[in-house]
Amino acid sequence: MRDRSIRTPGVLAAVVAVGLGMLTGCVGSLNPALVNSLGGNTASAIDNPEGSLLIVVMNRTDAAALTVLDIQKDGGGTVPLSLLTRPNTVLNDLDHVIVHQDCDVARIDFREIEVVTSAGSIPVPFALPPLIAGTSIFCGEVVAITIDGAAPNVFATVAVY
Amino acid sequence: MRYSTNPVSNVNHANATAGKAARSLHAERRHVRPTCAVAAIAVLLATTGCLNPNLVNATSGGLYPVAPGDEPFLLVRVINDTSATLEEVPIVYDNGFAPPAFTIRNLSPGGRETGVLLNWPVFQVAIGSLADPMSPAILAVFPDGSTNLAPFGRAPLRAGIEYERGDTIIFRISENNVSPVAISVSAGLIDGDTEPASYSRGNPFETVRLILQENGFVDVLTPGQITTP
Repeated sequence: MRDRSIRTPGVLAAVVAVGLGMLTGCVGSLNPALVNSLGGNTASAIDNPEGSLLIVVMNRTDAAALTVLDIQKDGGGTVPLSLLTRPNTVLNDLDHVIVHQDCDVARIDFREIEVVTSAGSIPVPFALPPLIAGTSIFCGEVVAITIDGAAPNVFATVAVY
Repeated sequence: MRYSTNPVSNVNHANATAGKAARSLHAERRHVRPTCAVAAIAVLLATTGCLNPNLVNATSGGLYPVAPGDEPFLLVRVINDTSATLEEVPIVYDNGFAPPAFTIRNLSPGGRETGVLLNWPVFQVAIGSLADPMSPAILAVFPDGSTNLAPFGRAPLRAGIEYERGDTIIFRISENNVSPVAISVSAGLIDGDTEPASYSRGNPFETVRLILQENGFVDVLTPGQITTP
């Protein structure tokens, strides 16, 4: 005879809850990516990140370039980014910059891109719509901004990988 | 007798029908209740965020990486856990060239988190100064308009000792009532070695390395040699 107790809603619900919890990661003890503290300071309140969204600016020109973005978070806050990249060279790695955001990004707005020459700043023409999380950008992706050409004929392209 | 039987018979028939209906209803309820319970739990999990992949990743991992792992980078994140806007948080590091800096500006409590991915090798990393950990470094503006300049307050973190290639360093800036500058810095580390070998939803650290490679920024691929002091 079948055990009828397992068919009771309470038991079944509990089993399903634990199963779903384990599958979806709601059980903290399954966390493999523990955040350790360095030195004597407590790290108990440091959140584990949700994931990574990267923004890379690659300057392939012979002038410094400034890229201005606004990162709007899910909670309503904004992280303004002014990313300066040096002229393209093999002598150092300052001709590109990679910014990390946790995956609580709601949208990315492109404000301006300009190159800085001895003659002054030259705005780089571009018309980029904002990237909207869940539509045009997702957690785990990379936004690649490439600044190319020779001043004053400089252009920028944006791609999401 | 027939009259007396028939009513009984009729009554019995009615009772049988009612009993069958009651048993059917009971059986139906037995099936409906667990279904409702499961549905309720699923709705509860969904509405509380437990089915949110970002939260899932934060708690159990495996969807997206939270550290570069095998890729030739060091991730440095800054978290603002104060009520102040951090006007300047200069991340300074030594990669063998003149010590460069990446300054995080205007990190509000709402913005909360940002970070920079540094090419490996990174020999040392700190906030403000690699030489003087007590120099004023973090400029914070509180809601009442008051400003504070807080030092990093600790020696620079060193490769091979506090961190390795592929790790994530987290600087958490929080309010500290016993500090004369009202804020202090905690440092945390995500060991890149704890990252899974693969991810079900892609690896942006691998992607960005490939992008740099394809665009001619090959210097990022130069393997760094770290000598442990």
